[in-house]
Amino acid sequence: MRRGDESDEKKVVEAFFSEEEAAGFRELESLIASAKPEFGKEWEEKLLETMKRKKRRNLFYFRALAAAFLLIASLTASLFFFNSGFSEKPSAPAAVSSELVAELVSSFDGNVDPGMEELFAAAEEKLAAGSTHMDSYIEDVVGGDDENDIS
Amino acid sequence: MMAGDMEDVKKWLQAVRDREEQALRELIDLYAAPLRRFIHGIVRNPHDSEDLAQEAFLRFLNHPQDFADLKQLRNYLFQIAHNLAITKVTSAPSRREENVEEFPEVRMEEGSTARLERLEREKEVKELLYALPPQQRKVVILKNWEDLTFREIGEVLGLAEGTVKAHYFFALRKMKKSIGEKGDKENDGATGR
Repeated sequence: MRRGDESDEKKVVEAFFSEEEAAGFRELESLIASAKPEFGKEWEEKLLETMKRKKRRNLFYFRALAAAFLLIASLTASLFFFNSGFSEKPSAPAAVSSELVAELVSSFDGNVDPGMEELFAAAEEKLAAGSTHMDSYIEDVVGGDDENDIS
Repeated sequence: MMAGDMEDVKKWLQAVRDREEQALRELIDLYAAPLRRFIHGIVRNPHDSEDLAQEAFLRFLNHPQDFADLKQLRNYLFQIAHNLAITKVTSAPSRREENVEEFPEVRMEEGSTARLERLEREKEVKELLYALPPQQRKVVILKNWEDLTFREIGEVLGLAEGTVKAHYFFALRKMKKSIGEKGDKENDGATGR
């Protein structure tokens, strides 16, 4: 019968399900059913073992995969921190804008903290001492010629 | 387990997915032989049918699905088995021809005479079965050996219910005719002697 030929198919099915036709097939059906093959249990036991083994293998793969993932993650993290320790630059000083300077200058009232005055005085002394020391050094090395006098 | 209750089926399926030994054993007890019979009916090779039945179970376990009842699960297993068997047959046509006696079976409790008679009868029926076109053969196997309804067979094979009935009708008619012809030949032989 051609596939999809609905009218033929319907006729066949109707014919099959008439009592007369069906009765003729019952004996054959019971004969076929009685020839149903059965199997031993050996293969079923092997099948069970295979299915259990696959489970163990899957678990093993899962664990191995998880371990590999953790290892890679920890390595990546430590590499990242190690690398950033070298490449991290000190933070840039905040830019001093001319507006800020102007604001500071305008807000300066001329009164200097006494502590600061001492600091300034000490700095000036040091500078003066440094200058004297430099003069004597130049005099010793270069001589006191006016031509070479760089002061 | 194994009650018809939907909750029980769900629990059992979960146990199967978790591959608990008891659940796997029940799954095998229920469906291993039917799958193997069905696959053998298509590939006609005992070793291939064992391998493919095993593959069908493993695929089922690796791609878990939900089923409302055990019949759905059985039909799904048959579908997997059918696809595997068809792939096998179409990819390796040279291995299709097999001796039907190679169908491995054991029924140890029988006496030797009964066993011989049964084997002889089975052999004859199998010869008739394997003489059928593949689609008709599959329908007859699923109907008579696995007790599937025409609708279920249609689901498994991807055919309309009416088409399945037609296949079944033609298959039985052909088998009946063959038996009749064989009987006539035997009668002719007996009277000719």
